[in-house]
Amino acid sequence: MGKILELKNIKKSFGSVKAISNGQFNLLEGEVHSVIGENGAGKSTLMKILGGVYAPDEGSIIYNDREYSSLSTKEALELGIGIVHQEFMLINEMTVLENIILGKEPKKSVSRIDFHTAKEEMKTFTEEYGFDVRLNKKVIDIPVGEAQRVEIVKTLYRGAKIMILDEPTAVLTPQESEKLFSVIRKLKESGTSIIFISHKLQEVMEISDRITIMRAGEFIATVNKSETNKGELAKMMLGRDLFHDTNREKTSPGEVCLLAENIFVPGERELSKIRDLSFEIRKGEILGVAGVDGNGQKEFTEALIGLRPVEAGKILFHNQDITNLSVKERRKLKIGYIPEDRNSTGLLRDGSIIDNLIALKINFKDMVKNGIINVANAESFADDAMEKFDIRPRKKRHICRRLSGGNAQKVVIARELSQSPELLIACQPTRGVDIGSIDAIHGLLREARDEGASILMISTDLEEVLALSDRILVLYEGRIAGIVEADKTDEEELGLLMMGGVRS
Amino acid sequence: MQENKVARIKNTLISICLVFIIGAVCMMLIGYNPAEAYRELLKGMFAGSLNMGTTLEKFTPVILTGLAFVVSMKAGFMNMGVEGQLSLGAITAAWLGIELQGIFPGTVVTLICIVAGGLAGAAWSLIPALLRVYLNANEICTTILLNYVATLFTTYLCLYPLYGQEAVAQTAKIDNEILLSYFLKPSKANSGIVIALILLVCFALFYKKTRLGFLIKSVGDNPGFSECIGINTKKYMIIAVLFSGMLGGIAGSIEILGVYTRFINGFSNNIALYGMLAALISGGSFLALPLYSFLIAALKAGALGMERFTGLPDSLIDILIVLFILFVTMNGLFEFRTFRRKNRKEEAKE
Repeated sequence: MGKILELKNIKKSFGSVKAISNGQFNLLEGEVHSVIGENGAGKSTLMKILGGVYAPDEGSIIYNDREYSSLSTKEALELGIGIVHQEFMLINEMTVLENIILGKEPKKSVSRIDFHTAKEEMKTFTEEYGFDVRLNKKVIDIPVGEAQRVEIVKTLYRGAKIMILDEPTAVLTPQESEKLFSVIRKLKESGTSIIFISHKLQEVMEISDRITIMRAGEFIATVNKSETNKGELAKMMLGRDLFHDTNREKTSPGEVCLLAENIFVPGERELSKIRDLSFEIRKGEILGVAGVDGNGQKEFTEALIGLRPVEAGKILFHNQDITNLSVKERRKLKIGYIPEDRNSTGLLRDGSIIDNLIALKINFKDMVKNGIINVANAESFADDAMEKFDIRPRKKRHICRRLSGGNAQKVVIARELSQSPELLIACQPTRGVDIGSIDAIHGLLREARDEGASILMISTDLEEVLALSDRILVLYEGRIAGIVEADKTDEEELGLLMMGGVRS
Repeated sequence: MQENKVARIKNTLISICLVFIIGAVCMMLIGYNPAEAYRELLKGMFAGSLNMGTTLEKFTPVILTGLAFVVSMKAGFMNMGVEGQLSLGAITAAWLGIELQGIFPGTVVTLICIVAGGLAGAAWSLIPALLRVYLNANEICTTILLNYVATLFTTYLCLYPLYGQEAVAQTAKIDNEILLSYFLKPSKANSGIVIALILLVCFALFYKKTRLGFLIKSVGDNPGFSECIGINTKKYMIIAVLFSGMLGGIAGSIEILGVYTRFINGFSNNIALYGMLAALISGGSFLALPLYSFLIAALKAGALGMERFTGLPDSLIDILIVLFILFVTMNGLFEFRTFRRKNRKEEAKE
């Protein structure tokens, strides 16, 4: 196995922000090489330099003993470097086959595409690697896992010898991830080198040969998988030990806080997206809701906070019927809500940190006197919250749009938790947030629970659900596929339930 | 932020220069001397009490209608119906001015007229507000269409029930006691400008300091967020639109009580359009709004002087105003060039 690619002393900054101050990376032929690091560690930037999207400020790219100072996207493609982006670059209205050959179509004549030859060529890929893709389906009709395989075939069809997979498992269920891993293994056997970007250590340990760790734009180390373990990787990645609640204390939940009885909730296009759902949350417990995105999580949570009407059934909060109360009335009862998407509904993006923090408090006496905002009180409240929830930068007037994902999410969480809610509905509380902040947010949620709040946490990240929840409810097509005790289950069982399987 | 402001000021200045160059070329093409025309234009804007007064006279309705537009814009509602609200406010003020004269002291009637004008405008704006909030009807369409209904209705009123028994379509004249006081005579600059500026400051503070203002802004910035927080978005949008309509109505009343002394059919000559444009180029800023309003008012006033002394049609100035707005709103235009230059500099360094 020879070295085919090397990135040396790469530096790249955007304006005054240093994205990469010391990038080192090398790739052997036919290996799976993972790059790990927190959000903002520079791994994506490094890969974009490799793919020709950015030109580095300094440093060189050595490919098959030839040195380049930078690549264009076209050169990268010609050299056989292909990227499978996190967001799929597919055209929904075209078929899988059309998507794959787009831009490199076999031609019958100048203006006619030779679909027959294309299909034949595709067969070699699908048979050789055992790809399970349906060429004639429209992309819009295929599931995420398959769309990802289409992306991989697309890249291979363009002659990729090095394939970069940018957080490929973020959108997959464990079963689909397993399928992806077998594809990766087959690619490796055939001599393709794979760069695998992730921050899920479990997967990295499973699939890689070697692992490169980056932190804050710097190369930390490249290690062989066989010579390391998860703890060591986490430590290198964060520069400190990861707080992990391994010895889960058995919590003792109190009385029932929220009770849903046979609720039906309409979706955007269909009636009864949520069908006949019944569950309860007790005081001082975290009920995790697992499920593949789009199985009714949105409708479910919106119905609980009052954004969406309930067709039938009852929601009781401390034995009070809240089924028909408005959002405002529910919020008054101390129900908190962390929306799924902080950009569209979680934050006033053009508002300052202080605006966002006081948005819930604006109806309380200590913030407003005779209709006029008490600036001094608002500021001291914001200062306290920024300190307590560690929001950086500590500038009250900073516009939220310019905050990093982690800090923006902390603003949302600070706003909700400073109401000391009795029930908190937390949707995807750590989506798109770096590991350091994830850790902090998890800590905050646990703390709130220990202080007696009931938390309903919806997440598509199984690791998160398992780490935080006391009990786990699995949603599948708007119904409950199962409710399990968190300490008596594992990813495999949850994955099965998420796919609609029956509990074994 | 600071950088942004500097860029905007630069942008405005460049736009003005560009517009005057284009204007000069046009004038030369139709055989006039641009230097002379611009001298007369400047004179018409500021020289002497008549010209300065005319500028201030135009400034009042422009800033009030601009303010009306900004106030509802903050809630995410594009009130294109200020013109109609202004007409209805104007006819209400004219009607009450005639009906109540002699019954109450003059100042009291003045106040009643202005308040009633505001209420009329607000009431009229309630229609598109309700249509938008409950039926999701596009407010740009409904407000523009309702403008025709409003102005034609005022035409009917001043031709029939409120007909002033003169040859033209207008109401009777309002008693001098009720009219606003003038300054900078012989121009028609009037104390309405004080009302306008007070309202501007009030609304700027309203949005900065009060709970209601905060909630309205939140509804405008992000309706989804506001719903999640538990804000009744419908209610606050309606409130903002009512304020907007009220300001339009007040602008109409002031025009009648300050400038025209009676309701004359078609008096406004689309003044609300200029207010709206001032509001749009100021980007909803309460600081920029008076500046742009003043600029537009001065140009409109100067155009009259220019026409009088050089024979150039004042519609040329309207064209220049429109071009100016076009350039200012294309704020990417000049920024792009400076950006390119910066890039080139950086490349040169390397």
